[in-house]
Order: sequence, then structure tokens, then C-alpha cells
Amino acid sequence: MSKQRDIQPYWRPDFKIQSTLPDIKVVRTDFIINAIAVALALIAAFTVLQREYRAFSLNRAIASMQQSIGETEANNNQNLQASERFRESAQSVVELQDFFRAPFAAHELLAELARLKPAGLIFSRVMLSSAIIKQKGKDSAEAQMTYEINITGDTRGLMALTQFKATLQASSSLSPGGFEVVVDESMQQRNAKTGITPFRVSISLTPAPSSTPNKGGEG
Amino acid sequence: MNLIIDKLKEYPVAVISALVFIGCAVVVFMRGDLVAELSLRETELIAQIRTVNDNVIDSRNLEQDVESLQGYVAAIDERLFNRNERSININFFYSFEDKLDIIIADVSQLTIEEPALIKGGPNELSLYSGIVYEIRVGGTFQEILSFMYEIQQVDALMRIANFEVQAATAQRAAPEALLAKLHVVVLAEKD
Repeated sequence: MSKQRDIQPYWRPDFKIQSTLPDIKVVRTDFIINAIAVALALIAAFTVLQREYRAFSLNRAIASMQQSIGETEANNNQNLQASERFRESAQSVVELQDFFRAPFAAHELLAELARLKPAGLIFSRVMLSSAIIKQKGKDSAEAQMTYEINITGDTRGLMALTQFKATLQASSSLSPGGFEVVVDESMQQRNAKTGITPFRVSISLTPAPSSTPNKGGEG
Repeated sequence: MNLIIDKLKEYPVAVISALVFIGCAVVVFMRGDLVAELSLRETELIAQIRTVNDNVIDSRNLEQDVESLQGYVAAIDERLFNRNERSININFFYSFEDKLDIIIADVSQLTIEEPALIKGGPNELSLYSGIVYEIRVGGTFQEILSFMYEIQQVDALMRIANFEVQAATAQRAAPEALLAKLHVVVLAEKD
């Protein structure tokens, strides 16, 4: 390595001029500076090369994937169209299920009530009615169906009415899943001449608190 | 300028290395986001390919299922009532008199819709609608029960939403005679 030195006018060095003195450090300053600079340059170059190689690899992978997607695009579009047609058709079937959703069929309910009726009771009227209530769900009030069955009639013996009420409470047909069933009875004044007591039995079906999946009853 | 030239002459390797370092730093700075962008794009494409592959798996026999479902939908559509064909619709219910030994006193198409099926109802319909008919029918318990059964079993898509069955109160009525008022909901075309 060349180094500019002051011209020495004398035959021996002047030790007061430091620049004329030889570098006597164990590791020369030139070497340290060069080594650090070269190391930094190598690190920087390695970093750049590594990043460029990574970018090159990614570009190649992306191109390959894009080609793969391009090749399957037509088939994928066809699948998506079929899926959309399936979804539209399925919606019709779902709505048909919703339409028929009820805890029981009317004729089966009427037949069941007639079957459960004890001999001592006479029905004068049987009525099924439904209503919508709003129950607070997680996000907002959710509309749900409630059902009310009212039976009015006459009886000579109140034991028959008690038996009928117990039978209704025990009937599995009148206790569909997802509903709370309450059976209640009331009586009017007994006719002293005939011994007949008019009665009314009401069966209320309200959605059970945890019955969120079946909004309108069972299918 | 002289100072730089002096340093270049004094430490040529260090200066060249510094220039290389600066050049690399500039490259990293200019193209720093490139790898991140490409990685993001790669992730997106991997997700896209996974979706495409999932679609292929999910689409097995899909065409056959679609055809089968569309057959069901066509069968549903054939059975729908048209709200505007009132006479045809009402006559449909009167035709039960010929099939069953029953007297249908009155059939009326109500203007109100079944609350459960309208918007916001628990069984809201979007593709179809529901027409409500009030049917008054007289007969014995067996006859009325048969009529209610037939309503459920008939080809058209209908069900009895509410009913009221009571003893006939007319003077000439037989002791076993009953009167029934039924609210029948029929699946119909969307308005």
C-alpha cells in the first residue's frame, strides 16, 4: 500500500512529525478499515442477493401458480355455476320445509285429542290457533311461533276432567320437541239440575328458551 | 474533492467496498417492499388454489345433484297456486265434495297473508308466498277428519294452520253433526 509521506530534508526522521513514523500497531489501521469495509460490503451484497433470489423464486412460483389457476379456471367457473344453481334450487326446498314447519299436523292433532278423550267428557268445541311472539335472541328479537289448543265441553264428573288433563300432560304427541307445554283447565258453575259442569282445557305451546334452531316448530 | 481523491488513493479497497455497500443499501431501499408484496401475492394464490381444489372436491356429483334438485323444484312449481286464479283455486276445494261425503259451506280466499310466512316471520318465504283460505265445512267427525287428512295429502302444497271444530247448533242438525272452520295455507307463486 502506498502512503504519502512528507519529504524528509534530513538524513534521519524527525520523531516530532508523527506522520513520518512507521505504523507499529500489531494490526495495522489500513487492514482494520479495509476489513470492516469489505465485510460490510459483503454483508450488504449477500443481503441484496438473497432478497433478489427470494424475489426471483417467488416470481417463478407465482407464475407457475397463475398458470395452474388459468388452466383450471374454466372448470372452476363451471363448478361455481353448478354450485350457484344448487344453492338456488336448495333454497326452494328449504322454503318448502319452512312452509310445512309445524309441531303437528292438524288432522293428527284432532284424531289424537279424540283418542285421548275419556268417556265421561263431551267436547263441544276444539280449536287450534297460532301466534307469533318475539323472543330476544343473541343479536335481535327473533320471531317464533306459539300454539294454543282450546277444548271446551261438558262433563258430569270432574274426575274425568282430571284424568283427561293428566293424559294430555303425559301424551308425547302433544309435547313436540323445542316447546314448553302447559296444560290448564277451568270450569264454569255446575248446572244443579243436570249435574253437568262446562269446562275448558287449554294447551299452550311456547318455544323453549334453548330452541333457537327450530324457529317455527319441527318439520 | 482532493480529500476524497486522497482517501481513495489511501484506502482504495475500503472506498470501493463503501460504494458497494451504498449501492446495496440503495437497492434494498428501492426494492425493499418487493419481497413482501410477492409473498402476499403468493399467499393469495395458494389460498386461491386451495379454494379451487376444494371446489373440485365439493363438486363431485354436483351436476347430478343439481339435476335432481331442479326436478324437485319443477315438481314444486307445478303445484303452486296462482293468487289471481281465484275461481280455479276455490273450485279446487269444492271438488272435495265429490271425493268425500262432506258439505263445504264456504270457501273464501283471504287477503291477509299467513304472518309466519311473510317478511320478518319465523318461516319467511322469499321465493314463494302463502295464500290463506278460510273453509267452512259440515259433517260428522269422521268426515271432517277425512277432509283434513285429504287437505294434507293432496298434490297441491297446503297445510291447515288453524282450525275450529264445534258441534252444529242448527235445529235440524243431527246430534253428531259438526261444523269446522279451517284456515288452510297454500303455497303459491311469489307476487
